[in-house]
Amino acid sequence: MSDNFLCPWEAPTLLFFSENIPSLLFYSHFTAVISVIIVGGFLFIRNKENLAIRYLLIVFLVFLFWTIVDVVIWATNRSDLVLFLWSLQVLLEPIIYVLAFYTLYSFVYNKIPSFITNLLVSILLLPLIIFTSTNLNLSGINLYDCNATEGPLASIYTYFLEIVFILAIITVVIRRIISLKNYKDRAKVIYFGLGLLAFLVAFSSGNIIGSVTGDWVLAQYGLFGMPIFVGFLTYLIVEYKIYNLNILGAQALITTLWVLIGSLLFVAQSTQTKIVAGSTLLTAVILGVILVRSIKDTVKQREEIEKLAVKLERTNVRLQQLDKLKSEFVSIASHQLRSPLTSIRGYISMMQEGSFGAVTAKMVTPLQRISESASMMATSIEDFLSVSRIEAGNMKYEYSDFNLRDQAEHIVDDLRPVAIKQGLLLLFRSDITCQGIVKADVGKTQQILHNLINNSLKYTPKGSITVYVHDDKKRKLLFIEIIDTGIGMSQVTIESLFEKFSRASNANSVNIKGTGLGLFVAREMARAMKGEVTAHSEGEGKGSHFIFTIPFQQ
Amino acid sequence: MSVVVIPLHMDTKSKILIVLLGILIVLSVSATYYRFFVLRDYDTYFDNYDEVDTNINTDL
Repeated sequence: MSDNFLCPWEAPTLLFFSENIPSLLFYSHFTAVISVIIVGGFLFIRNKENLAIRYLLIVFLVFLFWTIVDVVIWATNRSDLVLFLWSLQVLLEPIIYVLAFYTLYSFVYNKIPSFITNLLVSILLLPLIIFTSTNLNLSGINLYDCNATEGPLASIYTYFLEIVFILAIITVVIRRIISLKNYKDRAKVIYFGLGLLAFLVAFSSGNIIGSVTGDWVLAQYGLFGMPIFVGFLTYLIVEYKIYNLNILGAQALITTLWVLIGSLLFVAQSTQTKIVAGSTLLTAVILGVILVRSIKDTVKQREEIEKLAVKLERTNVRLQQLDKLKSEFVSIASHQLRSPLTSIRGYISMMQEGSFGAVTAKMVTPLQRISESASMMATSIEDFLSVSRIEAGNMKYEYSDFNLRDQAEHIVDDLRPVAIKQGLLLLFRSDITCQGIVKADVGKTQQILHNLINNSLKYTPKGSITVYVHDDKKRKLLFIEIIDTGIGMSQVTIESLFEKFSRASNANSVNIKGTGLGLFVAREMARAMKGEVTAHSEGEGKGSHFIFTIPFQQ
Repeated sequence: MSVVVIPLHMDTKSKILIVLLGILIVLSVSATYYRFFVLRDYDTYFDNYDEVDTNINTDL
């Protein structure tokens, strides 16, 4: 047991101010403390609910405590106080590394490591906690400079733990970078990891240099790692909006840092410190201006894009409403037209049959034209109704098994008189190995075939139209091909043929009666029944080739 | 007096572990305080690095 020995300098004033403190120490500690207080305070106010920030704040608090303890160690001349606080520092240092590891893990995964990891960390910390008060940690003190004599716990085990946790952080960062696909998420992990590692590696290096060389003045440079980490953190906050900080926050943060670094010029005693403070301030001002300018532009652009996106979304909603209204209007209008048209067609048919008396020779042709026009109008109305139902998603399909080959043949038979009247040859060919049974809506399938064959009838001035049914047993598909010798189409026309109100560029030369909806309706219906309608042509004047494909039942 | 508790989303076993470690740390710090301030059980010497054989062992 010994008395309380004092080191050879005056006791400090207000615990911190002493002649023993090197001029660099206030600067290195002051900058680190201020950086931590500003950024920590900002984050605490804005995002204290975030798990990673909670751990980061604990890191900051322990680091602050460590820094204050360090200044007291330098200032005091009491050997007992130095040894006690030095022991505390040895205990606190690895805890900062553990907390930094938890901060990074929760930042990257938004959760903390498993119980096994926590247990492993505790086992690693256990020797440090148990032997803190023993000679393995600190055995004595040199009264010449109040430097403690470090045992293996302080000079080896502590640094071993620090290196272990630095490697653990590197591993987590690399694994996460590999697993992430998004570039922005990767960048966030990289910046946060790099900043944290800069702080920890600098901190460790300073302490290791102090322990190995005994030059604890040189070790003070290790604390500059913290402002570097804070810099990375500020960049992340502003660039990636990780913690909802706007441009005003960034400007306030940088300006405060300038004021604080600048104030050192007035409190610094030695010329050396003034030079270091001055050059740091200059660097901080230049970098700060560049940073604020660049983020100002980025934030402005981002805000503009966000405004445009909101505007675009509103416009999109309005357009959707208008489209819906249009479909409803077409539907109502078509329904209103269909009823009187049915009545007109019925009466004309009765007139043609002589139900209202004999039809004179002069009346035959006009009645025939009225009948044809009414039929055409009925088809157009059906197309409009189909389009409005398809767009509103109201088209209903009643599925049943039926023989599509037979249906196709019936339709060809029904339309043959029309073809003959136009001087065209309408042929039907079948070459199927299956039964031709499909599971689909009979009415809709008939409408598709009607639309396709009618289309060929319209655009074939002379020659023939062949309806060819065949199958592909391997792919379980039934093909109905409509091959005509009509006006044909260019490749450009084919690409837009199935769009609404689309007609071939040379269509008007042959037939002007058409809405341009038939093929659109046919394809949409076919697709809804897991089928497809495609168009082919070798060019204008070389005929067209439509294929309706649908899966068959075995 | 109210205590501010920061929830850190840990499972119960980990919380028990942290509490145990906390107790150990408090005991360890107390023991360190006792050693340096009450027992004063440590070596002291004076070495100005320039002169050889100037170590003074002041341990009683």
